[in-house]
Amino acid sequence: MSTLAAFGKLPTLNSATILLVGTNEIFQQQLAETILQEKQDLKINIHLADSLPLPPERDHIRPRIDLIVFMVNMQSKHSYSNIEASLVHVDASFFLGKVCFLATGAGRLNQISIEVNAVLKLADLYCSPVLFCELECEKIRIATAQRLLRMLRICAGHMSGVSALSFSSLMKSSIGDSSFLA
Amino acid sequence: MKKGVIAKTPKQALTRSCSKQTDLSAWKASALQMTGRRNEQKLSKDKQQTTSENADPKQDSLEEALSYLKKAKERTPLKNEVLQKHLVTVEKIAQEKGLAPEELDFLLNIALSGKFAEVVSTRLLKNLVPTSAITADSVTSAVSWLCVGKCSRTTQMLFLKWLIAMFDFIEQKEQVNALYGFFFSLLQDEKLFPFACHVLYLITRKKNVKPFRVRKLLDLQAKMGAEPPLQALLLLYKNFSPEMVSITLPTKTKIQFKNSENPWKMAISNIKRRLCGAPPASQPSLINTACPQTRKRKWNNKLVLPACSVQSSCSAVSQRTHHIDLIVHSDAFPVEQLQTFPQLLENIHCLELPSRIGSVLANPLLLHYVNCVSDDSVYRRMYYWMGQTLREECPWHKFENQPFELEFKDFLRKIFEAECFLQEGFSSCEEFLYRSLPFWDGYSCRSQVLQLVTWIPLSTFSEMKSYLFKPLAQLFFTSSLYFKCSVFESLREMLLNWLNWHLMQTDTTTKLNADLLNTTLSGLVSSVADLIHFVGWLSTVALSLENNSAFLMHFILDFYEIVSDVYLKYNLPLVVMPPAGVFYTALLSMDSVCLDHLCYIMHRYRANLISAKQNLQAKKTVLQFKFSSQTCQEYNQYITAMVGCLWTSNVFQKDFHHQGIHMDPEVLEKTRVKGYRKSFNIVYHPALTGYAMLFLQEAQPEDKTPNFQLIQGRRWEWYLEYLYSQELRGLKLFIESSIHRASQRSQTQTSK
Amino acid sequence: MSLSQQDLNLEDAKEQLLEECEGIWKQVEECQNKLTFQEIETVPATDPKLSLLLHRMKALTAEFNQWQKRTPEIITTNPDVLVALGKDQLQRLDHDLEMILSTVHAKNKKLNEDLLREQQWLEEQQQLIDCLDQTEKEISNQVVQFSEKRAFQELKSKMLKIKAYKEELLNALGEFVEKHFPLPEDDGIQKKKTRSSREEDVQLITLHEILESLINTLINKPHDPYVTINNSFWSPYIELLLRYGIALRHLEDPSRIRLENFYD
Repeated sequence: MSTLAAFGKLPTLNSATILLVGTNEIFQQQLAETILQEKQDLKINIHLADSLPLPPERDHIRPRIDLIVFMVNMQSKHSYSNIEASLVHVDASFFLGKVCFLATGAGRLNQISIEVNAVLKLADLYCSPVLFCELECEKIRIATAQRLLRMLRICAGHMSGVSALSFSSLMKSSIGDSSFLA
Repeated sequence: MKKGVIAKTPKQALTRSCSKQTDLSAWKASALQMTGRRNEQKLSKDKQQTTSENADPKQDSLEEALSYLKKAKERTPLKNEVLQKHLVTVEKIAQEKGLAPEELDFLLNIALSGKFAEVVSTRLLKNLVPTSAITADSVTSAVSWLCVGKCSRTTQMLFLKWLIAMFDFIEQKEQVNALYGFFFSLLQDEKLFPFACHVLYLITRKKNVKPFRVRKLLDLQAKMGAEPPLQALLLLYKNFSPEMVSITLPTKTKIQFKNSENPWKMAISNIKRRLCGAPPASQPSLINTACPQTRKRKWNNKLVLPACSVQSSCSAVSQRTHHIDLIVHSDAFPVEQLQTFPQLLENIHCLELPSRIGSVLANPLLLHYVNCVSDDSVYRRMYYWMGQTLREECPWHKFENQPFELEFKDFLRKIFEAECFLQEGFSSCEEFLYRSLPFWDGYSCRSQVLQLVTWIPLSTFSEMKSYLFKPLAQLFFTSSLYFKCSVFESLREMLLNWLNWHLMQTDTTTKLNADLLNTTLSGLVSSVADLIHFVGWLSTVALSLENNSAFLMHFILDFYEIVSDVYLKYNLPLVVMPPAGVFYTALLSMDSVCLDHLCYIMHRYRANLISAKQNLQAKKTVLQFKFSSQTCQEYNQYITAMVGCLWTSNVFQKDFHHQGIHMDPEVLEKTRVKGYRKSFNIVYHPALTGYAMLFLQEAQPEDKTPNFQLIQGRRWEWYLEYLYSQELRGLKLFIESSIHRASQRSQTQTSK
Repeated sequence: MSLSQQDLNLEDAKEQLLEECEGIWKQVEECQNKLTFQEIETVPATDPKLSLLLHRMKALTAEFNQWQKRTPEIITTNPDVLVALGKDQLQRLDHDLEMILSTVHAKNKKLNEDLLREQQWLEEQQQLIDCLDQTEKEISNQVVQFSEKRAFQELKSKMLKIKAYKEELLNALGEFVEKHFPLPEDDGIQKKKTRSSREEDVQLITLHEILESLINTLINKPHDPYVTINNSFWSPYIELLLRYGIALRHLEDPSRIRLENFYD
């Protein structure tokens, strides 16, 4: 089966797994390293892929994936269409809070080849949040890594009382909706 | 026909350029003198230092290049090596050090005179980087070159862009304003049109707004449609003279001028950095000519007063225009001489704001002045300049700004301080936040951004929600505990600023416009209520994400301390209770500080509600009070729970709040806690049991295992006194106001 | 003796906790078994939003119901575990309180600074107001002493100066126009023979004269400020005036022009 299943496997004890999908290998690598450098009381597994589906032959050694991060490089149309194509191979259950988009390069407005709105729209289409960041800058990379880890923790069920679904609903509370108004 | 006009101009241009040439050489002589003097100074300095360095070789080569450009024949072929060499020199020095006003003036004339090929003109224009200032005379002569049409349309366009980018560096703005008609006529050119609009937007004053110009602009609009730059200009005209511009215009155009790229920006900031970053010993003489004693403040060029703006304008302009002076007004006090507060007091009636409006931000005296003037143009200039700077320099909008984050931080800090002083936010800053928060990484300039948020003025909540609170909430949920606390702190400040603003409003309104106030008040009340609900929502979520951290709770309760007193302290008819997620977490906290704080807040709620009820009964308030019976009910439920917890030990049966801690005895039995009923009263409550232990130790030092059951009857009263003596003031106020009357009766029962 | 007793208790506690964990894990496995039977649902490539939203709604409703049904669970009653838990919580609280303390200190310091600064501002503003009040008083006093005669004198001298200034302006304008906008003679004729031969027989008037006649007509006949163009007006200059908005054409009669209304 080429579709990546959200609940296909048992969770692993005391660990969480994040999958980074994107075409820019350097960014992926750097981000992965930064994530691993963060001190955690649980084991973090990171999987990198340039697109989905993942190769089926290694499926048996892959742990259950708790969070998929789609890295969209705003400077490359290819990166965007690649993500668009990959999204089809994701189990619908992932979109209940276990997917997030990471838009990089929005800070170079003059070199942008994808509209900011296009990314926002894509994320909205798939009911998932977008984080904006510039990964070249180490400090921002660290801050982003921490944000992703917080989400990962929740997605992997390590935060009691908060499910991935309810968390993503908080993140999504979109324009015109008044969920926090009594 | 048209040909005829153009055919006419070259001849007349010839005469002009001749006279200009003489001007240039005259100027050149003085400029050379100056640089020569500078080099001498440098030389003598070098000698003192007994170094064998030659006079600055770069300065020499710049001189050479300039004199070459002056003497070179017109239309020297592009490939001429000497020309190329000198151009490279100019380029290099301009980019590294910047150009003095005289050098700039010279090169500007060369570029616009069309003496060399267009490529050369473009290159020169792109390197016109000022170190300190640009004189208005330079602009005048540049404009005269445009009149004679010696340079191509593209060069003219580039010049206008340059003018826009350098606007802040230009001195004697009055003189530039005198060229208004000329810039206005450029509107007819389709290519130059947007830039001409932009220039006009920058220089327009009330006196420039004339019916014939309005007619012209309306004609243009009819012809070209609603172009944003034109709309901006019309809007400005309308601001000045609403009676002249009768058409309706969209009032909230966010970006009026396309972010014209600014090829000079990098060079300017590089030079700025060099001037302030390098140790003084290795400084070139540049800084001495620019501003000798204020080097410390010099580092952010934009925020520093131009060295000699008004003074020179006085001497130069006054001769020519002394007739006008008589008509308009008398002499102004030069701002750069303004050093002390008494000076301000003496001259406040004749101050003129500096050409660089940004320098106001860093100058407390000028802020005083701005605070007093009612002139709209000050705010408009500030608005424009600040909006532009924020857009241009924001590190997460333009990645190339990353290395200058520190500088940007300092800029934001200055804005914030000015806002604190003026007690209001700048609208350009608000727009900047709205526009940039969705892309903020939550890291760059964090504390400065959150500080600026506090001065966002109150507006309709739906707008704030989509632009401000939504992006903020997203960051909030995924960021650290400290970030969350800072957000609460910042929202608390925001609420305070709104409430203070409201207090000021009511103070200054008379009875006459009380009705008017009433209508705006309901808007205010609902916005404030929305903000409070928003924070309540954030608090509930944050507490569950952060495992009920006491640190977080501290910030949340700080917020509610203000909320509880909104009616009595800030005269706003509104009472909003905290959500159950906050109330119960605080009530059952292990932290006595937190419990005490909650007690204080509930005490304040009680005072506010009682006073509101009394006023309502006495019909003293004409204002519609925004608190429903639901609020009262909620308060009563909370109070029941609190008293049931701390005093009567029946919370598990008596708490009827749907999110409360009502619990079946069977569940409680399972905990195998003996006397579970009492486990949250003032003796056993986890936040207070430590006090009980210390109290018992003091009372009966010989008993090794404290027996809490002893605290009853008279000891209960003593224990209360003991608690009060431990600075639990909130608890004291709460017990005395909400419990005490009942206590005499129930004391014997409860302490059994 | 007591020590080993304590060890024994700890062992017991551990055992108990592990047992509880085993139980939970078993539940997880059961759930997992149910889940694997569930089919994987792919997202439709076109407009996935609706189906995803429906999916989310179902899931959220289920979660909501779970929360509603849930009753308080009792954590272990083993006293050793409880003590350890309590200790842990107290340590966390201790840490939090330390942080609160330092924040409160920092905040107090900042508030003190703010207070001093704002007091200074207040004082300065008070001074400013006093100063402005005084100036206002002085000015109003001056108004009282205002003598009509002197005002008249002042106005008169001002008028004179303005008149002189007007002269100056007009002279400058004249000079400028004469110098830079001469009549198309000499070179114009040489270069463009064909064109000039057409107009040769008419005596052209200068731009200076055109302007003058425009100004005069406007001043003398404000109700009808139009000037009729004839052959003596050199058309490029007329073009120039119209182009830069100095003159306007009559709406119906293109041969008549007037000066733009600059002054109102």
